[in-house]
Amino acid sequence: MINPEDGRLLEALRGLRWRARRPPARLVAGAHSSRDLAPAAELAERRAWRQGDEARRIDWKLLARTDRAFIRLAQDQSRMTTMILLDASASMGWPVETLAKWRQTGRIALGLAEAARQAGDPVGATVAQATGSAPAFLRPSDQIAILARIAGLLRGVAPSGVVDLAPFLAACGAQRLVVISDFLGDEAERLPAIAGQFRAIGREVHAIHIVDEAELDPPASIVALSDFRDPQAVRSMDARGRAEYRRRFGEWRTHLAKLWRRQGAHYAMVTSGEPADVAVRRIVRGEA
Amino acid sequence: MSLLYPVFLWAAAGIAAMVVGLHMLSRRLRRPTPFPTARFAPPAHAQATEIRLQLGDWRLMFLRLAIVLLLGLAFAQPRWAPEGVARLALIDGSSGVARDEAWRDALRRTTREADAVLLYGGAPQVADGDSIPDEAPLPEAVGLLSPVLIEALRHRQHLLDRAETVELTIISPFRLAAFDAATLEIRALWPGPIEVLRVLPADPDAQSALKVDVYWAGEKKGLEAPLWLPRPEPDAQSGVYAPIATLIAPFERNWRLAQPLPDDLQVVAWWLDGEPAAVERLRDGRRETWLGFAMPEDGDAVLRPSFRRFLDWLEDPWRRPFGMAQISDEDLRAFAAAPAQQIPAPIAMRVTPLALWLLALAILLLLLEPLLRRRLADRPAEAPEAKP
Repeated sequence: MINPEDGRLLEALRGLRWRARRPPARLVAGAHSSRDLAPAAELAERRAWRQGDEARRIDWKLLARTDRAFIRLAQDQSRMTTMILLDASASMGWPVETLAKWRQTGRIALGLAEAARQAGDPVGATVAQATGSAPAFLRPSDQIAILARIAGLLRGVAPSGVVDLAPFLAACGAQRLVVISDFLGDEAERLPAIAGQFRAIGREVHAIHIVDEAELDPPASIVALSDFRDPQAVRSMDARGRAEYRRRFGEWRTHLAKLWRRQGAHYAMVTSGEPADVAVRRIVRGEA
Repeated sequence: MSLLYPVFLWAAAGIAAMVVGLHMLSRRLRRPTPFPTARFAPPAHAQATEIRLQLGDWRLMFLRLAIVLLLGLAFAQPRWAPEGVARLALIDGSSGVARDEAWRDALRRTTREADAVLLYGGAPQVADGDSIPDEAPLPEAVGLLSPVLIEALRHRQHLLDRAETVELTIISPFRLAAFDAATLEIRALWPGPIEVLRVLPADPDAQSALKVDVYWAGEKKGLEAPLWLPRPEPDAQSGVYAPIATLIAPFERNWRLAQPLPDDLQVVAWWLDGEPAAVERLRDGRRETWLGFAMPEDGDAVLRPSFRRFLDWLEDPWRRPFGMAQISDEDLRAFAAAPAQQIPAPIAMRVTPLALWLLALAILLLLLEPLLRRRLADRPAEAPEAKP
């Protein structure tokens, strides 16, 4: 069931089609231009007939004129299966009061799914949850109902625990992979390498980095921090600590973006306060 | 149970509220906030943890609240509220009181009923309520009310430990001289009415005429030492005030009173600027009056009613010296009635036994506070309460 807020988002994204960044290998007929030329009605070029080619593709008129057998080739359109992988670790459920990061994650996932679906691509979703949680997976589909199913899936998930995204990412078999996470897990440095392997076989990888605005600029009322994973370790947020925090966090984000991009993935950072439709359009356009 | 000084408890409650407020504020500010990106912040200093601990720990807060409230309660002086009425009697035992049968009856009745008896007329003496005070007269001719009223206020505080209210009875002839400028103000410190029993003054010459001697304008008769000294520069005065009349006329002031004034002399008239103008004494059935002025010879001033009244007053053989007369019944009733406006009594700190125990307990907790703080500081920091 799509709630009114998601409905407004989908309305704002009407007509947005998520084009492939590079022509994908031909798998299934779809909206994207395939890298392969295939026999088709719309002529692109001709090549000599080889054994195994279908006889019905032979250009009979040319055969009559030249006495040589050619088959007609055309630019084929392929469909790009899109799989969205969402990180449901505890840090994605912050702030606890508003779940701002997780809500933004859901909106971005839904928006990207709609953009892909409007391009004619099947879209699926996987929620990476902590060990012990029921698997949350939606098989790719290009039906409009997939949006409601994704929304319903995300509503039933409460971010918690520690999640290793690497096995989830490695298990994804789609042409286009979208990873939405805050990349605060220990495996964050390994993910770009896995993405590089996908890129090597021609798949498209998008890393969407979700950051809360309070993480960028912690409120002045916070003077001490404790880490989710190590509550005993108290960290200072006095003036010096605050400046140090901003510097380190900024350097880490830059480093993370470089890692992803070096592996050919598209990296984009989205804050929890950014309008979701604006962020989705930015991602679809390939902007950081 | 009631409190002698409840203001201290209110003050302690205010301080306790501030302690709680500071604690809550500190807890809110200092409690580590679970933060996903906390790893990018530098580790906290030990001092920050210590401050957080000092102000943020519930055990410390309750200990501090207990200290503050115990101190407030101790200073507020709690006591078990007594019931009933205590009676305090002030008995004029000066030589100016006639020790007749009526005086003895009043004395017996009062001392039998009183919880405390103060005999005055010299230094105030405490007499047992079950026994009659010594009938021997005390040295002073007039029992002054002001000092004995102050003593009565002090006794009242002690009697309030045993009774809810204290009633005061004064047995005296209530001569004018028993009152001074402070008497009425001191009386206003006593809440409620005062029972007054007037007894007869001891005056053997009360029914006989006195021999009267009046000495005008600095005459030195009858005195061993000069009473009036000539003024270096005589001046003009427009009037003389005496209890019986105010004389308005162009007087010439040539004399001033020698100091010190002998004990048996009393000032009975003043110049309008306050300087003594006449003194008198009563000795051996003779009343002697020395005037520091002469009657004006010019004009018809001496024919005026005020002058005639003054001269009659001077020559009156039945008149007693100023102050030895008794105050009127009307003035005595006004004195005995409850003051219209109660003057708050000066704060005299008292210590009740319960307050001492509370104070000791507060001091004990005060000594424990740094020990608890140190013990808590040695323990590892608390885990945050909310974990996502």
